[in-house]
Parts: sequence; C-alpha cells; structure tokens
Amino acid sequence: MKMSETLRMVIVLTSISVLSGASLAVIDSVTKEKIYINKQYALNKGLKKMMPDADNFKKEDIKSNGKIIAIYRAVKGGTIIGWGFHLKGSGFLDKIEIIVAANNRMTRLLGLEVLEQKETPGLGDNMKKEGFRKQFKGLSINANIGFIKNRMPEKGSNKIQALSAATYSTRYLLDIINNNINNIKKMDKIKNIIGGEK
Amino acid sequence: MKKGTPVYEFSKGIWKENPILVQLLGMCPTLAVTSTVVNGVAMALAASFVLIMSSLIISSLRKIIPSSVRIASFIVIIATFVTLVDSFLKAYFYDISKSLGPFIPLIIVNCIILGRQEAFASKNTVKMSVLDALGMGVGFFLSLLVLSSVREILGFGTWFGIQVMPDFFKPWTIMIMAPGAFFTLGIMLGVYGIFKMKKSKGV
Repeated sequence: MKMSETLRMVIVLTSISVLSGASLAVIDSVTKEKIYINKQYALNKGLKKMMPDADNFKKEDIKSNGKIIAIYRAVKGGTIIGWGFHLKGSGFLDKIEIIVAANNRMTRLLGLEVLEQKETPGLGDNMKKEGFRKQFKGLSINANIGFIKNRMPEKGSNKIQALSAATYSTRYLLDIINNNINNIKKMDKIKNIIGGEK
Repeated sequence: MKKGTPVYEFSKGIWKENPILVQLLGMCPTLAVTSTVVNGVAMALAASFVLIMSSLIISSLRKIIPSSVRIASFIVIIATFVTLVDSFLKAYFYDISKSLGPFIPLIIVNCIILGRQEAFASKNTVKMSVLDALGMGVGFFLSLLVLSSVREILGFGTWFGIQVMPDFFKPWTIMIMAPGAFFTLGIMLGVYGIFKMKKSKGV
C-alpha cells in the first residue's frame, strides 16, 4: 500500500513537470524569434534616434575584458560619424542593458537609451525617462562621468544629477558606461580608427 | 446569499473576503508595484489571468494529485502559467512588458494564487473554482486600483499619467516610496473596518 502511494506521488509530480516543461518549450519556440526581433528593433530604433544622420549601422563584436560587446559603426557615405555601444552590466537589483552613442572620435556622448532594466519601480526605473537620459548628451568620455545628488551639476563639471532616492542605480549605470568605454578606447584596433587619445 | 451558490462564490472575493482587505494576502506585490496606476492595473490583470488558469487546471486535477505533493504540483503549474504570460507579453506586447519589468515573474510568489488553490480549487468543482478565482481577481484588481490611485495622485500629482492636481500642488515623494504604501493600505483597512462595524451594528 505504501509503495503504491509513493509511486503515485512520483508519477503525478513527474507528469506535471514534464507537461509543464513541454508547454514551456512550445511557447518558447513560438515566441523566441519574435522576442529577438523586438529586441533588435528596439536597438536599431535607439541607435537611429541618437544618430539620425547615419545611413546604416555596421555591427561588430569585440572582446573586452573577457566579455563580448556589440559595437555599431554609424556610417554616412563611407565615413564613420559615430559609434553605438550595446552594453550590459549589473544594476542595483538586476541586469541593466543600455545603448550608448558616441561621436566619431569617441570623445563625447551623443545619448543614452535604456533597453532593459529591473530597478526599483518609481525610483531607479526612472532612468528610462527622457529627462534623466538627456543629461548624458554632450558629456565628455575622455574622463569618467560622475554624479551629484539633489541639484543640477555645474556646467562643464562632467556630472549628471543622480536619480532621486536611487543613488545606487545611478552609480551602477555610470559604472557600466565608464568602465566599458574606457576599455574599448584602450584597444589598439579602436585606437587606430579614432586616432589615439587626445 | 447562501454559501455554495455560484453567485456567492463569485461575489465573496469582491467585498466579504477581499484578498487584500480581509485575507491580507499578496502584500508584497500590493505594496511594491502600486506606485503608479498603470503598474497596479497591469499587475492585477496578469495575476488574475494566472489565478483563473491555475484554478481551472488544479480543480480539474484535484482528484489525481496526492495531498503530500500538492504544494509542489501547485507551484509548478502556477510557475508555468507565469512564464507563459511573460513570454507572451515579451513577444506581442513588448512595450508593456518593458514597463512592467520584474513584476510579471514575481506573480509566482503571490500568496493569493497559492492560497486560493490550497483553500478552494483543490476541494471544489471546476465551475466553482473558476468563479471563485474570477471574484478574487476582481477584488484584487479593485483594491490595487484604489491603492495605486491614492499613491499616484498624491505622489506624482497624476492619474494614469495625466496631470490631475493643480500646479501649486507639491508631490509627496513619500507616497511613492514604501512608507506611502503602508500608510495608504492602513487607511484603507481602517475605512473597511468602519464600514463593517456600521453594518454589523445596523443588523
């Protein structure tokens, strides 16, 4: 009697798990392509918004600090007019995925778009709002970007105003930008194109 | 209304056994996501869908699932539906899915859903379980709507993203943070208690 009860438990739980796994596999195969297209679409739309003059964006995977980063050359009539970086890193709560655009010599930022983030609702997730993101336009990336709390930073200080009550989200976001761009700029391959650091 | 009738099983979730105001279940999403009305409403709709589908499946399997592994089975079924909703939104409603961020995966740990399976769907017929889940979903939806409306209006001066407060109104930032959620919920529970007391005195 005891054996059959145990057996029943095993059979029921196994079949429920198998069925659930099967239905997840089905939904994944149906939606996978669509999700990928949605992400690519959002990425291209973001690049186009920050560099509207570009004719096309040439994707290139580069290896930096053991991670593979997708960078995009914004090309207009054969010359490079800007760069797009698809960056990922950890935020305060979960992974943050952004695209950052820089000018052709990689000295200034042209903008920031947030692709995916799971920061605190109502506080950290305000990073996706236009008012916060537009502060990045024109900042220098020859030096690290810093932040200041509760007030507008002085002009030329290369700082942004942190998100209120989300200092950590701001710090992690800036870390992703500063570290990755520093690493990319140090690479010989990139240095040759942008003409070294000034 | 008599217990056991379809009308009773549906309507009890809205007022008499409201999941938020009476059962005090699912407090984590209730307090965390209601900083804006859009988030609150989307959360309530997604959670209600998962609740109704899980009740449907679990009540039809209630005689097959041995009681010793019922919780594990419930969790697997609930998590399957949540993942399904998550993938579906990402594929077909990318913008909504982006704005909801982590809320959807968090439905798995919503106590209302597991609570209804344990207390109702595992002991009742499919029809009654679906009605019960529908009623609980409506009750959850209405509570989140009120809670998120109060918080968004006082915390941002907007409702559904539209400015409703006059220009001189200075938003109370505390309302969008955790303490604001507790204050508002506490006041809602108090008001509910006053209504109940008045009703019982009148009888």
